[in-house]
Amino acid sequence: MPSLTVDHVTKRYRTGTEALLDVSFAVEPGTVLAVVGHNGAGKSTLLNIVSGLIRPTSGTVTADVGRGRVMWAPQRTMVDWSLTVRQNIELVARLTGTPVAAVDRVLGLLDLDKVRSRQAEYISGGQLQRVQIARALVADAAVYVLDEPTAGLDPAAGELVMEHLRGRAAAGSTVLVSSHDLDAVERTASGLVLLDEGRLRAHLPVAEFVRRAGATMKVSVVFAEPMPDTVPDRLARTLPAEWTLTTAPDRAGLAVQVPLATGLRPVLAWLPPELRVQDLSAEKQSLRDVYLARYADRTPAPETETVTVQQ
Amino acid sequence: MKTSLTLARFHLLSVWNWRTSHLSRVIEAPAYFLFMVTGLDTLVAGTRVDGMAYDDFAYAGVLVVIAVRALFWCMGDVANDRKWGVYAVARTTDVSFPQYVGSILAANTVVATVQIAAICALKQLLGRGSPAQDLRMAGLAVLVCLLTVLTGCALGFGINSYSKRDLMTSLFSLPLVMTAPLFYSLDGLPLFMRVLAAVNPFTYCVLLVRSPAADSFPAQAITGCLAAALLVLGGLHLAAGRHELASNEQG
Repeated sequence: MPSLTVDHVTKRYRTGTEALLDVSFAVEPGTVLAVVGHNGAGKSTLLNIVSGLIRPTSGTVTADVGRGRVMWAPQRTMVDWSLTVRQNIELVARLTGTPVAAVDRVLGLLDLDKVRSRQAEYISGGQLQRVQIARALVADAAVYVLDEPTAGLDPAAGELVMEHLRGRAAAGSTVLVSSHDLDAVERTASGLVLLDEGRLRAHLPVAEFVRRAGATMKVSVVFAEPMPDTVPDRLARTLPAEWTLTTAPDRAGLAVQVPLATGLRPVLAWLPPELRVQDLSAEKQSLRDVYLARYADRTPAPETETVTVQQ
Repeated sequence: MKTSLTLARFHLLSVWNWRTSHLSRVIEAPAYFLFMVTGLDTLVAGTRVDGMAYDDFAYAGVLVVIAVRALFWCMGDVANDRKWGVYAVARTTDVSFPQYVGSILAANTVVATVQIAAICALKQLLGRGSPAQDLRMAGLAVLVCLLTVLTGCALGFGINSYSKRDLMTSLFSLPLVMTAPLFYSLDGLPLFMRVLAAVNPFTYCVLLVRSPAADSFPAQAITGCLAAALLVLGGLHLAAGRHELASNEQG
């Protein structure tokens, strides 16, 4: 049973902006679902609706409340500037009935110990971001919603946060996280939702999204001695249609680009057996690579691709 | 109840943390009172105003000034809570709308009660006191503060920016104080002033607070305050259903 269901959600602001148009998807418990898309694609609006901060114009969001509450960290800074760092987090702990010891744990986790008694107005932007994340993580929840949590954090802190989110998902929570750090998304998320101008363009497991987006793998081979004269022509003749071959000028090596789904085995089988391979490396295109290649020009994808994401 | 008190505690912590900014709340009312009692009372030279000594008249006026200030402080508190995410945190952690309003009511009434108590004590220290009557007036002022805090709360839900909050405060704060008979009697004032006073809810508030020092039963004041209370509750009811949890102003 999904822990979170977004059903035909549309949001039109009073300014007339249509931030979301008929967005529907469901998320299973134990999933880290990344929400990706260009600036203005509707990510924050979607996450704010899921968090309960704003109401959709139409459609519904249903969280499995039987499993606990929704905790959230917004993209824009929303802290009580008059309270100290610790008080901002303790407020949430008190309201959720969380033991106060959890406040100290989360302060330590996010390296906020040194500024715990400082008022929010006197800490840095990165520390404010940590306070918001700490506020979201201090209590156990069925669903965590974090809007660009790693923005403004140093790389180590960003990785720590993502690692922690993986841990929460492993414990059975659902995590919705938006991020422009697609490498972190690929390491952390099991599925992704791609939004484009308010429309849902894809809801797929990350690996499936990468495959369907036309990701390739570049296999580079170095031979022990240069290929005989006839081999390059033979390789070119037997090259499958979707593959691209580049031969080194000295015939000492080659590179072949194949669809990611092909895998390494067919490439090895295609190589003439008489060639002695000295070195072989394979480089897969990442989520970031395919996103930039396919979506960087902001051309909308032709159709919506959705598959229910399961852990 | 417990949830409201928990939230109220953090509101009070906020006031304490920013105590230098809130110093005006401590200074303003006693300063008004000292000025009125030692300055104007000398000027009117013992003349009775609306059937009472001027220090009693001004005492009630200052108590209502505290209530007016409580309205705008409370409006700002709610607006800030919606901008800073405190209200959203509360509501998404299962705090109900009445519980949140209860917390605002508790915190702001505590502050207003301390201010009222300080004025009451000051009146006794100046040797102008009539303890039993002053305490009754102070108690009525606390009731008026409950009403104004709720009003501020209802207004706060309609405030989505600092500029609107500041506009509301600067536009209405002083006129509300000056067009109600807080420090002078309406008798003999021009017609337009009496009309303005008649539509100013604080006219009825101050009549209610003064009632222990007046001879007659404050039927008009009670009617006016009840009407205002009904309007406020209606406003809160509207606010409960129409607002987003967070205002969309950045920063």
